[in-house]
Amino acid sequence: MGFKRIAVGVLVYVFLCKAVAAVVLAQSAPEPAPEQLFSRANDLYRAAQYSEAVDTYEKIARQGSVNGNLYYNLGNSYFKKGDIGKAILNYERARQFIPYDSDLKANLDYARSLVRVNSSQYSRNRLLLWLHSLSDGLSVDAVTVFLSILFIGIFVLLTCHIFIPAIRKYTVFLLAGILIVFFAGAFSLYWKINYLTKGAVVIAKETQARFEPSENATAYFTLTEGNRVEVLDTGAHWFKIRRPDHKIGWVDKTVIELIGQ
Amino acid sequence: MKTDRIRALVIIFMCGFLWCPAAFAKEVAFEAHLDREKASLGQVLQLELGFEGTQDMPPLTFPEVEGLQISYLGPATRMSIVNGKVSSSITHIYSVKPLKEGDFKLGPFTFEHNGDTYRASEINLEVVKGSLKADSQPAGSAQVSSEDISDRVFLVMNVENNKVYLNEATALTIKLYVNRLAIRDIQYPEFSHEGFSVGQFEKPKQYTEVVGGVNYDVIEFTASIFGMRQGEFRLGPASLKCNLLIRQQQHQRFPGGFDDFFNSNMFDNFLGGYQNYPLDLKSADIPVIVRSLPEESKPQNFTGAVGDFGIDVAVGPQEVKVGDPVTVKITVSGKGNLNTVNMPHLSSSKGFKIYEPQVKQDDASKVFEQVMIPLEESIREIPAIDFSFWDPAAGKYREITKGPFPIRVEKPVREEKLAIVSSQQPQDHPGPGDEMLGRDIVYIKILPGAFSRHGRFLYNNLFFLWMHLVFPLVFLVILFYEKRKRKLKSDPRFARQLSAPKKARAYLLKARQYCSSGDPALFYDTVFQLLQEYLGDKFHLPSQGITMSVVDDVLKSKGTDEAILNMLRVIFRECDAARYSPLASGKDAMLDTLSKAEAVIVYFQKNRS
Repeated sequence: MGFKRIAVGVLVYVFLCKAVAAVVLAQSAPEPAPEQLFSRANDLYRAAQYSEAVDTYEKIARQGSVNGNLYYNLGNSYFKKGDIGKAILNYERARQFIPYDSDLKANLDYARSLVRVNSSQYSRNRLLLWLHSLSDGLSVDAVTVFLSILFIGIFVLLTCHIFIPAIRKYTVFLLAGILIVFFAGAFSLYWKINYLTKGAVVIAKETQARFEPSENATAYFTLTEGNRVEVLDTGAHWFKIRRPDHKIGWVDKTVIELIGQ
Repeated sequence: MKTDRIRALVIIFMCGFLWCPAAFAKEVAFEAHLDREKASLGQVLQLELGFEGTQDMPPLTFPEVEGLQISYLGPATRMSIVNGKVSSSITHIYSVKPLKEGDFKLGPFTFEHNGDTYRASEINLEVVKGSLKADSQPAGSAQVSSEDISDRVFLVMNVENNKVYLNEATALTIKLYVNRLAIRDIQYPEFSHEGFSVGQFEKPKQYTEVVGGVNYDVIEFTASIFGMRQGEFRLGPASLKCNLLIRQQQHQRFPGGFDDFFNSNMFDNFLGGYQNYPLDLKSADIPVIVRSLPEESKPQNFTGAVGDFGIDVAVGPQEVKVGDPVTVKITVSGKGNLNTVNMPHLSSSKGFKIYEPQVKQDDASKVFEQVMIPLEESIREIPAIDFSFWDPAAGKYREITKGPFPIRVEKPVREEKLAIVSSQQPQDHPGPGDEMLGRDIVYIKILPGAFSRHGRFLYNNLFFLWMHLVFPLVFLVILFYEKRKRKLKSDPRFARQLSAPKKARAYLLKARQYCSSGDPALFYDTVFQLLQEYLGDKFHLPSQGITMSVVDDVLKSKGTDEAILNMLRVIFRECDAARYSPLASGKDAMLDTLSKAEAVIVYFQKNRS
């Protein structure tokens, strides 16, 4: 009897909460859907109102809804505004979703050609670079799914080994092949995640990396907009970064922006 | 009169001083010289402003001097060899015409050029009325003729070989012999050389040579010459200009003891008591025969090179794409007339586009840089290079062949034309065949596509990650099942042990039913079967042969609890009794037997050993 009472009480409470929430939401202005905002931002872009287009595209991102097309259009809007650093940043973000997109590649290449971007790779190991290049046209999720399929494939193969005697003599080779591809894919995924979480783009026109996280510290090297760096550590107002040529210095947090931010 | 003499001495002293280098700026010496210090009205004097060490010096703009008319006559350049040292100089010559009598001062001279300042001391000039007999001719100048000293200074010309082949280089030597004479301002010799081409004179050599028992200082000029056409020619005579330095005869002007002191050599030298006397020396001419090259066995690709040569060929790069240039560097070096060496012959130029070679030459070698552009992928080599020349020492034609030189030619890279049409940087003059396209970004995406939550990727989706545990777990289950199945097939003891509890449960259920229905015969029969089957399976014994004695033997050896053994004995006894008098057993007795049987089974299930 007591249990029934408690259950009824909980149901009434939930119902009342939902009713109150519905009333509050009905009174406040409803948030437009990301698709609506996207369409509105596109109209602003067509009208050459690039600053307004940027604001609208970024509003979608602030709502937490993102995809490759959004970052691509945002990059285009920044490009038209003349902010090449932020354009490159958003093209890089779009690459995490649609790295195979030819329009994106063309725009990113063009934007990079307009600024002094160093083309150095973080790794000089040819094997690592080759492995990385294999998955260059795949998004993070695509590589993850690919790895997932390989993982499942391993157990499918082992199960087949049990039930299909004819396959047993090939099992070792097949398993070795799958494992090699799997670890190569895992390395590639690690690289991509690392780039997503630690990669950053310089958005200031030109800035100097210093030996210490202080305005008075000695300048070590110069960074120009659009250049990629790797964030190694984070201070209150400073990022410890590494340039592709492996030089490490400290920069103000306002001059670079993380790709995965 | 005595005062005049003293004044003259002072002037001479001053002039002597002026002869010394007056001022130095860097390596250039600047000096001013007036040909006399005393002159009569209307007499024209010569002022020389000389720069030793350069010929790049403009004339000095002369300031006006009242009573003197100064005009610029022009420059005189000179290259001289003194003690083997080649030096150049320029002298700007001015005429000085006194317009009135009196004492004049010329200078001091200051001259600025290219940031350097040159200075020379002033010169005094005394102009007197009337004529100065003694000064009409330079004091003490000597009359010297070439004939007088022809055995002490003379010029000799020689050629290394006076029978040469066409284009064959031979050395021409002109020697200046000097015996105990001071010769200065020696100029390079000149000579007639019809039918010959003459190279530049090398740096003169200086040495001593004994000729006819007389020791001569020799200055030797050497140049390379070669005949340009066949025939008999005469080289020379060579001529050489220089100055003979002779001592002034001043003892006539300053007789007496006081003058004797000034007439001493030391004082003469100090005052510059020498005078230049120009000499134009001439040598004898020499006959030279220029022979044509033999036609017999002349190579087809012979182009006139005469000498003893070697060639070296370098090809680079060796891996190119069609249309890329390959440079063939051919170096011809050796002894002979490099001027007549032409580009060595390429055995074939098929499949190449060939440009005019670039030629560089120095004293010892001649370098031809031939650019060849392969036009086909099928080309595998730069063809062989032939070079032939006439070797005068061996008296025959010689041929050298180098190569062929392997190269790798790849397909040309065709650059993709941009398909993006510019909106910001239109090209001014796009040609019809080669359209100049600009660059701009590609337009925005019209459709939004599917949105995802920011920062959410599959790799950080916990459900997605945990889901992957299912596959190894399923595999493990399958593996376990399969192994068990195989063991059941291959191991009957294991199979019986495994099936024992299941069978026991079935028998117990059946026994319970018989107990409930009050059928002691079937009940005890079922319990007996239960024990037989269970213990038979459990201990891998033939079920039909299970009796209390068997059970005692086996179970005691396995350390079975005595209480359980007693229970088993009781159950077996009750079953035996019930078989023969089933009606004597009541329901309670059956339940008691059933509970004992259950206890026994539970015991053995718990104690698997």
